[in-house]
Amino acid sequence: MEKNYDVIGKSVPRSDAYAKVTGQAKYVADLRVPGLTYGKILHSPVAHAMFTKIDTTAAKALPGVLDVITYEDVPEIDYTSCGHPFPYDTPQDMRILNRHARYVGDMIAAVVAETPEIAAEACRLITFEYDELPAYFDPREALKEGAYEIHEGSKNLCGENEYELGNVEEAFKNAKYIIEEDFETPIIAHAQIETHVSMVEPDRERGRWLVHCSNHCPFILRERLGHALGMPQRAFRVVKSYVGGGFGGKQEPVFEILNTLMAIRTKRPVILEITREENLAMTRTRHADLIHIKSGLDENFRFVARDVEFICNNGGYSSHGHNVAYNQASHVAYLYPVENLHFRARSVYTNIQVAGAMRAYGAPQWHFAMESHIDNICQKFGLDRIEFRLKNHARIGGLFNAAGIMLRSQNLDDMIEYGRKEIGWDDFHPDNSGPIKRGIGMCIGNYAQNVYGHSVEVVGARCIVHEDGSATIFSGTTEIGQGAETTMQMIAAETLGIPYEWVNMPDGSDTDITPFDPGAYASRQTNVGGNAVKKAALACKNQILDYAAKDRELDRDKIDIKRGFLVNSETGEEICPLKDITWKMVYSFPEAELIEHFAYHYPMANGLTYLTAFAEVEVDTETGAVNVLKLRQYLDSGQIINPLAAKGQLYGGAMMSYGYGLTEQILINPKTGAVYNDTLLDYKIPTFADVPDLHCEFFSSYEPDTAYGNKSVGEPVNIGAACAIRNAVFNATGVPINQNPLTPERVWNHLHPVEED
Amino acid sequence: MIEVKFTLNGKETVVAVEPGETLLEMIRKRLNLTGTKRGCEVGECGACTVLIDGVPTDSCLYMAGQINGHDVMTIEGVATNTDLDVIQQAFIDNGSVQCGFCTPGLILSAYAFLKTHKHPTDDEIKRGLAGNFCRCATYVQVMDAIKDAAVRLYGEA
Repeated sequence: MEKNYDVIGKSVPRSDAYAKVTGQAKYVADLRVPGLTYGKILHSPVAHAMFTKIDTTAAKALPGVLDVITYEDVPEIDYTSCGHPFPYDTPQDMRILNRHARYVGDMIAAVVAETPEIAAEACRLITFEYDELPAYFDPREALKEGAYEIHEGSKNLCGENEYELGNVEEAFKNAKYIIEEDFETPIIAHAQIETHVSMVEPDRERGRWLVHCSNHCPFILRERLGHALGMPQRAFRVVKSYVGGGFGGKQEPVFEILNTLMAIRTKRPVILEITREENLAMTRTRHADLIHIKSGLDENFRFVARDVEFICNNGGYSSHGHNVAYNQASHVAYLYPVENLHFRARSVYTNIQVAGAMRAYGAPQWHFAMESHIDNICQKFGLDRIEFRLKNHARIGGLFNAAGIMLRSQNLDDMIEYGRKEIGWDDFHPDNSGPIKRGIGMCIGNYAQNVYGHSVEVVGARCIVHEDGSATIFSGTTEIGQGAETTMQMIAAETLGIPYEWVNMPDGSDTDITPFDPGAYASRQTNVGGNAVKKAALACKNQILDYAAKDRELDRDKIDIKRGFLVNSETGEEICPLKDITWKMVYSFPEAELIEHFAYHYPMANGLTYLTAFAEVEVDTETGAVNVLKLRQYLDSGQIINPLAAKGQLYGGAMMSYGYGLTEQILINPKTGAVYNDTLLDYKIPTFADVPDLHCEFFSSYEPDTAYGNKSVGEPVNIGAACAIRNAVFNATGVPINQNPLTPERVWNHLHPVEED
Repeated sequence: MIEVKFTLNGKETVVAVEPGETLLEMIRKRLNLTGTKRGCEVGECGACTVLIDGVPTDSCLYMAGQINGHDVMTIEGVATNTDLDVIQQAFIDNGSVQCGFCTPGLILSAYAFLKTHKHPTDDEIKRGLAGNFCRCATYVQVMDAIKDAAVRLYGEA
């Protein structure tokens, strides 16, 4: 649906671009306060142990040390770092520091000192003893009967769910074809270039603590602080600085609570800056999943039955617990709907780094498995890979009640057709007689707009129209680099009928000032936050129009505000500058009006953003190296608010997925559980040198019940590339690889399997 | 302490530094120029890039005591007075900034790259900027900015 907008859909530079290109943007580590002190964490060197003794005498005696905190000193309160709003849906299973260490890197003690060097030295002076416990790195081992319980009474299950639609057993009996396969995905690090960092200042006058954070969810952080420290929430003011990359990893307070405890005990401002090695090995990750798919197809190759089982490696603590698997439980139902569906997932405690939220929240794992599965099916039965998807994917009108999804907009088939032509699908006949083989592959995918159907969904916004007709908006919408603040300003400008440049929004979130927002996750900010901003702005506009109609004796139904003017809504003719109205509203005696409104929004619907990706690769069968020749990604995310910003997400997400497909995996020492590759030299995120011939485009549709027809962008863009590349490698070599990333070693091993005796 | 005298963003600067202090620490903590970012402290990510005598250098790997007599440019020195440099404006116009943490390092590398590449190809940019990691992976938009800046500076090829 094409709409005639003045601001929406027209690119503007992000509102913080100037600050960022000049180096003026202040991230947490850039804040300077007098008397700043430095925190440092002592991590468990072993994967699973009960600490029996800890001696801090030498550390405390070191000049410059202000405090040493151990697991003996923290509140006896169990909490989870999970950034989810109420209701609590994950086990409260950790302490701020833990006597029972559950992975290499678990936090057992911490130091506050006058310099970072003294803090590090003091950590080295802490001595301890421990009894080692059986450790499990593979969830299948942790699930075995009689395995040692990492959390007492848990049977090493962090969470579990199961559901059935229709009658799966019966449907499989009647299915013409049955295909059953296993898939495996790796542990992935967020690897933000800005490591986790926070700084906490005492507010002596008010008896409060000011928590500067680099976090997606300032309001949830405030709630978690109160819970974990056993203090009233009002004791904390959380202020978000610029965030130097989040991707889900900073969606929960990994270190902020410990940092706050440091400031409370020392009554000094304390910064806790995490090292690169800690960031890669001791924070949060994307779950490694074992995925079993059994599909039943009828004689026309339509899905008639599906049985899916996930085993998710959750690491030592719950973090987001089973919620990532809950999202997967929805996904298995709505990309390719099937009447008879059985789903079971178990999130399993193991003795490795904790898995939590990461961009697209379980969808990259599921799509990798399902899109590989489909190509494996097509290969087996000689089917066209695109036709199979066109035949089986969900169409407008689809209702997926369990996930609260109503499929009301979709532009997938146009995108597939476009990609098919663009990649040269129908004319692809490479000469693969030599050792270098070329192949093409594609995939489709989808992702929701918010967490309606799963969890709390509400956001507030405040809009002030000033006497000169300009505006300021306050929104809890959390800017983490995705461009959310600029988007909110554009929505306010469009709604008010004023130029984008007239709308200001204070940088960052401040729990004392900005309206409530649970945070930046689920690609929900434009969907939910945008609606709140639109409502608040619309209330201001209506107040202005009511006044103008009365004051100037105009027909209220025939006036509007456009481009900063009061206009005749039928002819578009300018009546007067907006300022003539707003100035009089504020500066009238004795009756004056102020133009300010608050609104909040909770969605009552969820929709689906669609994507497709295409890849052309060449595989060196002698070395296993995969070279991506072309990568294309197309996204139907409704009306794009700011194409310039959305494009950065679309291309960047494709490259991050490229890493998921080809280069990224956290490797664990199978004997000790320690992370092997805790540096950016060894954990391979895509660099400039990896960028292939990459081209991406948006395809618009119009999603109802949104501010301006918009759908999600930030996470769906991170799903496709890995699947398309995998399928292109399969097409090139004829060898299905059901495990990512497709490193040269893995590809070579699949091409040269060891002969079994 | 070691006294070092060098040019910083065009100004003569004299500072006393610790023997073990890196240039990154000196710039961020002693001189309070926080546009230079700490990403890994071992020369992997390029977030701390500064120009030393015009050459992009990881300031985390460079000892502050060695800077005597050299010319250093940080992100704060790229804009002249109040005017943005061409490459900074090109980053803004091409949507080449997302979270922004790697942006100062990328801009300094691009600034140096453009001195020697008047009509850069995509492959030259990929090689020339490969030392600056961007986890938002805004690489294509940064390539757009560099090509745009090259045209603004030197005209079409």
